Amino acid sequence: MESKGPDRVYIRKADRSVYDQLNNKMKSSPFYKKKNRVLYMAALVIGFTDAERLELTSKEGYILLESLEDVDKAIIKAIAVAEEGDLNALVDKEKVYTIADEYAAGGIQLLKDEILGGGYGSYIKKLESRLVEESKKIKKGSM
Amino acid sequence: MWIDYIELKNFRQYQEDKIEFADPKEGKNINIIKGTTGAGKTNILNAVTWCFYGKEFHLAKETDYPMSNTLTLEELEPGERCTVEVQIQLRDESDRMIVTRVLDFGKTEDGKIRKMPSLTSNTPDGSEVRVLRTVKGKGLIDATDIAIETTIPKSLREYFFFDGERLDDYFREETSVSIKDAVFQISHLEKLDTTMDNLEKIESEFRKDAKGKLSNKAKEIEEGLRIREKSLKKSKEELETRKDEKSRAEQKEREYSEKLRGVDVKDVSELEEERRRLERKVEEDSKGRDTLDDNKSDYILNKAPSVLVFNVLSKTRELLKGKKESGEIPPDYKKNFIEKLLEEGSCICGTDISSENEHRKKVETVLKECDEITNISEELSDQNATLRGIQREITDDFKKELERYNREISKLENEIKGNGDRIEEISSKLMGVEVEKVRGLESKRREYEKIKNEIIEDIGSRKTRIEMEEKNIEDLKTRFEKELKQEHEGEKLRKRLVFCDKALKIAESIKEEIMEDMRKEIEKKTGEQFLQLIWKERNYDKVIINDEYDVAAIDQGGRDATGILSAGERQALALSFMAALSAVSGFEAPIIIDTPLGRIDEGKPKQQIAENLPNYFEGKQVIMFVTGSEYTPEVRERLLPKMGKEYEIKFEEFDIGNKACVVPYGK
Repeated sequence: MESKGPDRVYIRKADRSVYDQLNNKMKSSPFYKKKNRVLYMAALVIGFTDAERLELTSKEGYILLESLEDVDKAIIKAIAVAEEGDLNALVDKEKVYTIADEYAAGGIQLLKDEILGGGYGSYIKKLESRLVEESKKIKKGSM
Repeated sequence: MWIDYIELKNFRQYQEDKIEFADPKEGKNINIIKGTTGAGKTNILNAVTWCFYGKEFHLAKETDYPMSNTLTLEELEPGERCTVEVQIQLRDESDRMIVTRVLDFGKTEDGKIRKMPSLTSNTPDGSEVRVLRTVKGKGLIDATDIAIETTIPKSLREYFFFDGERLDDYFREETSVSIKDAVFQISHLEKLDTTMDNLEKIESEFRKDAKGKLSNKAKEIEEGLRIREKSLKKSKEELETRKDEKSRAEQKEREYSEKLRGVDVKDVSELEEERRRLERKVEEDSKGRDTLDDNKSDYILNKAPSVLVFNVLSKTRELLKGKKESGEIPPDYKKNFIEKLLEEGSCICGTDISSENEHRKKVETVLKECDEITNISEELSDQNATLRGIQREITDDFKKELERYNREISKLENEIKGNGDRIEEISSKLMGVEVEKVRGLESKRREYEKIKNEIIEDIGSRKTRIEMEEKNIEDLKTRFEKELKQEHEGEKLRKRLVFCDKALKIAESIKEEIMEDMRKEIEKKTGEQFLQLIWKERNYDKVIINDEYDVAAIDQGGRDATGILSAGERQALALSFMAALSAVSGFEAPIIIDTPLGRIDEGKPKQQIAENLPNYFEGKQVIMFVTGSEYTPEVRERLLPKMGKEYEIKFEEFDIGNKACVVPYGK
């Protein structure tokens, strides 16, 4: 049955300080003063590609869904479909965003380590190289 | 003539001393008197000028200190007196001249020292001079009146007896007008000047005499002539003053130009302007690059999720395509719509399906076969559209956009680097240049250039006015003569005036010719000697004394280097000039130089001057007063072949006074 779904994405309470650090406090962070959604989506995607889902035992709201862009929602849904292996995963909105939140929780620490490990310029450079590599694999008409 | 001996009695430090010198004609023309500062060297020079001219020209400052030796004065009883005496004997092959000057000092009853001028004294200080000179067939006779003036005229004194320490200021303090004056004196033109003055006075007297006998018209013209001649004289004096001012301004301009030599001021300003412009550009480009960097980072962070999970997005899109192709999207009907129909118990066609009948069973079968996803079909369509958009953006634009950012950033970075390199280059060029100082010097140079140009313009106007005045005077003279021709008395006057005028013109022409010949001669000799004396042989080409009487040392590049001569080089130039003046003067007189090498650097410079000076004054007696630091072993070695007599001053200081005596060197 289709569920109404949540009105926001959630993060672990324990990760709030990390989000704050990367978004608001650390001037050398590539996410410094950027929109929260940018950081959340980065954590989600890193969690999905390089880490594992982490259950949110104690959570708090982070971003309202209306603040997410259509692209963000499309990616979240695609991840849920990939996770469940079926488009029917999209019926349970609660589940869709739980998957996203859990991957984001798994990815935020990894993201933090990467950023603190090499600094602003280093993280963006590495990311750029990775994206260039990934984009080479993308062929025209592949979707 | 040369100095045979100088005898000093009670003169300053010297109670009783006789200093003998060698005959320069025997090839030993150099005489040295060495002493420490304050020992009494300069006072020997003062003794010479006092003896000859009645004045000590080289006192450090005006003093009331009595000329008499302090020890001698101390020994005087009240009422007693002592005599200060300087006697100098000069000789040449056939002539002998003895000059003796005396001045008495006495102690009054109350112990004060007073000068006791002679009643027959003819000098300002109350001293008395007597000159004996040999005359063929008559032996030594009294020649007091004229002997000194014919040997070393007072007006030429400073070209024979000079203070070496002051020489290096010579071309800084002396201007073209005073140098012209020096050439005038050396040319012995004062007699010609006197003649010309007399002619003018005579002319004036003639006119005055004839005034009462002239017609009114002639008187009027004569009055006009007098006024104009007075005005012309004043104009010429003012012109000379302006020439002097121009000379000073030129000197200053030269000084600053030479200080700026090697620095192209225009280049400096242009380079600075370029550097400022480039620094601004680098700052702008850096800001631009930082902005581009930020924008690129934002782009990467925004697109990263789409790129990293592109395959996941692709798979979802595949699934959606499949659903579409199978007709499940959009569905014919949604599951919750069928559920609603069953709930309401009525089909859309109106058939009753509220009870368990075959129609209801058919609807229930449809419901069973209906997928949940039919309820979110719009969402799936939207998802599909969004994914299609992402796909296009990533496949078509992502790489290009990233490359565009990188290209623009790279371009800016190349600009920044290129401009940065150029800034470095400019800074290196300017590093040796103290830019503020250069600006200051250039500003001064321009100031003096402006002053000089203004004065040149003014001189030009004045010369034109003087020419016009002279022409007007000539015209007036012509009118005057014409007027006088008509009168008998006037004709006599006319002839006299014509004669005076012609004589004046001839005298003026002779004066100019002699001055010009002298100028060239002095210029030649100064140049020859300077190039021999100077130790930087390759730096200088010649010395010029132009017809404005500006003296300049010209370097190999043809530039006037007078402004940047070192103290030693200025001294060498002044020495050469002085030597040229005394050589050209025609007077065979000894040369006395006090501390000739004081301002000259140690080593080669001192040695070079020491080596060449005797040759330059070949055949002339040279007496030099030197300090220990001047008279180095190397300098002495170079002078020894020409050494006549060598002395040093032994100085003793007592509570009641001091005493010096001149002893042979080394004793």
